[in-house]
Amino acid sequence: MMSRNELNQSIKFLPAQQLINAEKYLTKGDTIFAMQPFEGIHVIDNQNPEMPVQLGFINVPGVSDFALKGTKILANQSVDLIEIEWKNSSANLKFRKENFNKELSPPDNIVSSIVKNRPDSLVIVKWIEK
Amino acid sequence: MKTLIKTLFLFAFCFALVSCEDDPVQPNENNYVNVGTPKMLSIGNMLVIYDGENVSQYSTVTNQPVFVKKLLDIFYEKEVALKKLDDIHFAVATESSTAIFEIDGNNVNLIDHSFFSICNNFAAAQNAFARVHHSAFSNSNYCPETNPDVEIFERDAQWNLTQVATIIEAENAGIAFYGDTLFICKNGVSAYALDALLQPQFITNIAGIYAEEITIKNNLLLVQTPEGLSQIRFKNKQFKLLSEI
Repeated sequence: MMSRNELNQSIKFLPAQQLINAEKYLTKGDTIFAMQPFEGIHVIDNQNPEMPVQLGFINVPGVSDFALKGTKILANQSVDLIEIEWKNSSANLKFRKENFNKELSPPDNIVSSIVKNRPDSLVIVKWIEK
Repeated sequence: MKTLIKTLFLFAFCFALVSCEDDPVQPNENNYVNVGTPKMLSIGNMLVIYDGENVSQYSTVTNQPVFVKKLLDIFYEKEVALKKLDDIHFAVATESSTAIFEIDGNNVNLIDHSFFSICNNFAAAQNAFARVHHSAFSNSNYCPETNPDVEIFERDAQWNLTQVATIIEAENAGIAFYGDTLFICKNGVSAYALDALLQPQFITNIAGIYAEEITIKNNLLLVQTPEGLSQIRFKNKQFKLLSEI
């Protein structure tokens, strides 16, 4: 879980990170965007497919899916819908619609009282199976 | 007496500890939830969004997506996939059904909604995903992925399906079409040409790559593997591994 404040401040462009369990790849021109579920989006310069270069990692905790539209990256981030502008190798949050999506439900569908009775300010960004 | 009080106190303390440590939850109406993971798809001037319960259409002609209409209610299913089939068609696949929508200008129309129409053993929406995926590229056929075979279907204008071929012992993983060439995960990544009767003719394969998902851009295959991303060029009926991340 993450506080609402942390979630709202979480979009950052970080140095390249190891590509682990990426689930969705989208391309725009020579750039590949690879989503690592609930963590963020890897950005890869693919001008030379024989030698792709990882440009960096857009930190998007809670991301469950994304789409590309021109220079925009639209994404479901936990309960929010967000838009990030990808321009000149930088990522900037353009808007956030809070509480747009349903909350991520646990893998077993059972919500414990800890989750149910948590403070309103906490947002679920990921479930980890024990 | 003191000993009895001590014992009772100790018992109460231990009970409290156990209660704090565990949070036993029994499924009931109040704590059972079943919404899916949000998904989205960009197609034309619109965004199709599954928010965990409903699939809705949003317009993207303005700066921010604007709600247009609800397209589909999803009841009690968690595995939901949105897939672009071509420039005017997309599919919403769940564990039990596949709905196909057609874009007509700014309108979106449901043209087919099949429940268990082809395979009654969908393990997950990923299978439904694959089966609708292929009409995107071939337009005249339809190729569901079953476990573990790949079945090729011909579809008519009404989206009625007729099975015409099967590739056995495929690995129930990545599958994609490019023109009339079918790429599937079988002993690595294999390429098949579909002839006029939609019968698959084996062309070649590249071993050692387990393709969880295959995306094609021109003749470049982006292959999602458990280790990362592989890029493979398919040219002159030959594969060439270009890079791995």
